[in-house]
Amino acid sequence: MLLSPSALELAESPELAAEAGTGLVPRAWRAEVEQALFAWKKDCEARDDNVAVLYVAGHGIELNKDDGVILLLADFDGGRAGPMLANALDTGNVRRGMTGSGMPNKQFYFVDACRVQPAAANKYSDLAVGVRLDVPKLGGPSSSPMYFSAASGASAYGLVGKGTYFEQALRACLDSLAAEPDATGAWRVTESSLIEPLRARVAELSGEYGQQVLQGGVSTGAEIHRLRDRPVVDLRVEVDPAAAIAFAKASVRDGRGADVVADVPLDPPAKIPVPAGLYTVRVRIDPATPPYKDSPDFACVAEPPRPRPDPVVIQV
Amino acid sequence: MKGPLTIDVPALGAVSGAELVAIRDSDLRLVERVAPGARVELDPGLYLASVALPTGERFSEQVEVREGEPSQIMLGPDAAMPVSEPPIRKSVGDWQVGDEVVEDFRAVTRDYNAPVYVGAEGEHWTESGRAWSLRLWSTRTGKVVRGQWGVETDEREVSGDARVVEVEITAPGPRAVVLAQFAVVGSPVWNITLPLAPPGEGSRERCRVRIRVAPGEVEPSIVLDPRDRAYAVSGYLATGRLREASRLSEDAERLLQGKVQDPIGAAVGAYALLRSGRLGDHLGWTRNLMDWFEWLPDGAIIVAAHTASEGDHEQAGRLYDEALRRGLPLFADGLSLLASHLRGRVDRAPVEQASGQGDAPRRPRPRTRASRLLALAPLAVYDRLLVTYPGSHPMRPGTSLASRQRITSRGWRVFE
Repeated sequence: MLLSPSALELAESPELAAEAGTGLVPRAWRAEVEQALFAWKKDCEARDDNVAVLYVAGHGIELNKDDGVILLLADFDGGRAGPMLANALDTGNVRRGMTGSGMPNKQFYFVDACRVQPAAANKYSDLAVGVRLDVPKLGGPSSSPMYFSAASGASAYGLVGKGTYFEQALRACLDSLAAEPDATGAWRVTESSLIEPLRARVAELSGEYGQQVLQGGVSTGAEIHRLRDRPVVDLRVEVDPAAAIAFAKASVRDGRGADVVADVPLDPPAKIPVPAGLYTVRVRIDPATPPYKDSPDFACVAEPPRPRPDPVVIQV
Repeated sequence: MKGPLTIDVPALGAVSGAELVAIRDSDLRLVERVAPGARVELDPGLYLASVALPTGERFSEQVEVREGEPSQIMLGPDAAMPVSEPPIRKSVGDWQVGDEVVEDFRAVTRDYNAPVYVGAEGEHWTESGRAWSLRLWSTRTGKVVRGQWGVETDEREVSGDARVVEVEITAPGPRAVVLAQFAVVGSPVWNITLPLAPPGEGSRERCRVRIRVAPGEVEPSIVLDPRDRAYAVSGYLATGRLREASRLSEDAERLLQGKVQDPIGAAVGAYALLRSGRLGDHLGWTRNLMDWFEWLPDGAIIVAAHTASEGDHEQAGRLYDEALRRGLPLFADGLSLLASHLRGRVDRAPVEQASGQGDAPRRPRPRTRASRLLALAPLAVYDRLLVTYPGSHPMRPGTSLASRQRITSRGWRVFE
């Protein structure tokens, strides 16, 4: 990991300041990035069942959806001391360069950067980018998707001290939001399951900025992350009409009919933690209080919270 | 004894056969993937059936399967809804390059060698911010072409001064990808390739474009018929559902068989397969797509990209050269792949020798087509299906000068 936080970010985040202050985390300057890139490549090519992950964040110049962006490094100087993009990282070239014998077949690239095209860049037919890999004339990995935090020509956003919207959304997705159970019951985040919740979560976080996530590269549905256990979801139950809540008690059974909880009062509002799955909920009015009535069984799904999770509302 | 279950998805009526419905048990474990309308036998119990539509919406429903008792459920709406392309999220103020702004529809432009268009309603000048203009280009010749189009008159107000109109465009003559330009005063000109096959070259001789027009803004989107299989594949690609898009494309080969072929629909499917790493099983018909439809560069790009992924970069290079010769790709994915290849090429045209000046600095002479494409590629909007980019001269988007470039009705059709 290499970090070059701004003074504002250091002021807003004591943890980040402490980490940066240890001197153990290299800065994201050209020399350090280049050294780290080659060391990472060497580690990756030790065995082809390794998984390679590259995450870059900062200011970027867009190329296309297969070339990623050119990431401007912390010591980018706009060409004052040499070629304009000497202190920049060519993410598309890195993805192309990660091929060859021993290279991992599963590679994931996350580009958390603005994707703009500055007027200055348009004056050149070719811009040499400083940090890059040699590209062998060999076949590529079977899976190498690239996830962009912003649409073409758009900016990526975040909150100082809280991280970018893309990073927040990606963490939430890896935690559970993008996890799906396979046939064995293992909850996995795959290339296929990641993009839709990632997009939705970034859109929700970015609000009126309307940040759009884009996917490029080749994606075969490979596994990115596996959860240790089935995620636990807070099941929230409400009643209609709301006034009945003072007398309402909920019982929950799982999909096989086994009791999970019985007669849980709903006032104050209850969150019932359950493993993700299918459930039936029944509400009993106790003491009997006309006109409210006991409800029949109500089927519901408890899944990792998607953006704007809704409670289960039962008519009584 | 098991219980039979049938899950109908009316909104996917055009795409039967693809396993797009997921069935999960009470622990949400994946039990089966089935095609809409297919019958599946399941052990008795509680299940969750879910499907994602090309619009990006996801529908699910619980169903209890009982021993020997047929069950049937329906997911999603009664009919397919139109798929919308993502909005072009740029305003004039955001532009950092290529911000040619149309100032005035009057005046004559040089460079354009266009025939005069005479429509049934005739031409008219306007300074109204509500007016918009349309022009067609051949991407092979780089010249304006004459096309036939009809404008839906029942345009509707969207909000404030914004309105939406639809245009139906019939393929003009050239055997090439056709590009449409849309212009309105105060906005960069938008170029979008059209899913049109040249006459006699396929089933798509007409296409519909929906245009959102507001003062200083124009935003075109292609309208696909929900009964069209390519509509579903495009929708899935646009919403990032590569798994569904590639499942639907498994039989895209049939779009090249029979009396009426659909190379554009086949190309959409081929891109879905390429992006999901599954093109290897379909190389035969994708080569036909490249060989039979010379006007469509995307066939060569698709085969080239797959060839490169297999390690044969020499052959891939030749195929990319062929694609470049054929002109601008129809699809944004094709533009991205071709541009990526060109960036990675280390061989350049021979260095031009300065004559009579032994010490003068040498200047390399880049290949014209490759240079133009590389200049255009960064401007394109890659979250759209078709090639979409700004520029008042579509063949030289980075070189047009906004303040001196004004639009004339010669070659443009102006609408109020």
